[in-house]
Amino acid sequence: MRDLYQRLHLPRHATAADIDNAIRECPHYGLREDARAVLAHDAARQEYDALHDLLSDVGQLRAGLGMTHAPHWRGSVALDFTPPPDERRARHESLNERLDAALHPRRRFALPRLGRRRPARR
Amino acid sequence: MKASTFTVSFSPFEQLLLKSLRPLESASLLLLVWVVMHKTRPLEADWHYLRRLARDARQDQALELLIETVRDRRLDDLRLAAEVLAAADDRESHAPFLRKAIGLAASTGPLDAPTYHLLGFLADLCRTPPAALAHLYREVTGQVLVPPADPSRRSEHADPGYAAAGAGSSGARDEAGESVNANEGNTQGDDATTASAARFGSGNDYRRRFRHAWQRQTSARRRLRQWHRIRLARRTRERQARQRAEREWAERQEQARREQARRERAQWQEQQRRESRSSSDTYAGWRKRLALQVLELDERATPVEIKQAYRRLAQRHHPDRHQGLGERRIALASQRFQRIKDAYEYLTQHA
Repeated sequence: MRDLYQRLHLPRHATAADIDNAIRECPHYGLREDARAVLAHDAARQEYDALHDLLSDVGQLRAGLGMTHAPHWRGSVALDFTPPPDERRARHESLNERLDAALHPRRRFALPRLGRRRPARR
Repeated sequence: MKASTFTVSFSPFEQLLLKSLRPLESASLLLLVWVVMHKTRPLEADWHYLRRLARDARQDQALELLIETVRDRRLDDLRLAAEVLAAADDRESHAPFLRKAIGLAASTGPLDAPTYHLLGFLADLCRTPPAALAHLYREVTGQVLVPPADPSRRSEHADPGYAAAGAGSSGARDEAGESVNANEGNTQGDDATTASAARFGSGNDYRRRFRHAWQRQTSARRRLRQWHRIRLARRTRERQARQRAEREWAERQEQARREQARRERAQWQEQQRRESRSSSDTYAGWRKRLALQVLELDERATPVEIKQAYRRLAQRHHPDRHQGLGERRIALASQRFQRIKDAYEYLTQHA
């Protein structure tokens, strides 16, 4: 499963006219034929888009979970649908933190202030 | 103050997870709902099964919420569920979860592309390698896990409906309790029940055929292995026999050579003795005996022994060894050395 949008340098929600243009200008014969067969027909494109969305979700989840080099994520799928690494913290950590904040609301703001105070303006 | 304006918010799924008695089951329920919602044609029986799972997890009303979560593509919630599942103990929860997922995904026939990739994701989450997943799939459905056609390829996409090809294929679930589930599905609708019955029949058929094939392959493999073992033993035996024969031949050769050497030596000694006996009364014989006497040898001495004796005596009586002990000593030593040298030269020339 390849990301035809990415390979044609198109956004995911490109219009039919854009797609036609991109297909006409694509220098690669095999890619051109595949894109014409998949993206140019509405029914086929709908089915392809559903799968495309799902695979982008899976890729994003994998990036967040550090599973971008797992044994079931190989070939063109992994090549096209792996986003750059997700630097955000794990969701359960953030959940625990928010839970702490909800249960002990004062603890968050009891920290002493560090550094000098800015002098008052004249 | 800012503290008063600070609020903590939780998404609906997080609230569900926090309130849940068994968060692991809630999380896996969300992932199973995810799988079912990406099937091309989810069966009524699948939803029924999910409802039963939700009832078992004491979350009857949660299913709507989970469906909504998946429909809105809330990736954070899905990621939270995945983290909960990945943090769980391997042996206890992963295999049953994967069985349920496979049963739900394959209930309408061979996997299509979305469910296939979702199953791969769940298997990675459960740290299950492809071979183990294929084994589980065969266990649950009685079929071989075949990767679906790639929709981004024209040639595969050209022939219509690979997804509709598996109308008569099977999808047996993991437990015997599933039959109860199928019977309960009677109230849901006739078509679902007949479909599931057909699934079960063909599933058993597949299993039987698979077992036959498996047995045939196993016996063939066993026979092949036995034949290999016999051939290996025969080769080993032949090799050992060959090595033994070679060793014996080499020993015999060595013995013959030693015998020959001994014979030659005896012959040579005999000849020497005869010569010395015959020449004892001539001048040459006398000179030779004298020379040998100088070298402190008897008449049976071999050339090697003569050489060794000469070397030894020459070193002992060399004039340089007597340096600094007086001229008389040096003169005597050089006299002796000269005599030894003359004797050796005589013996080497008239050997």
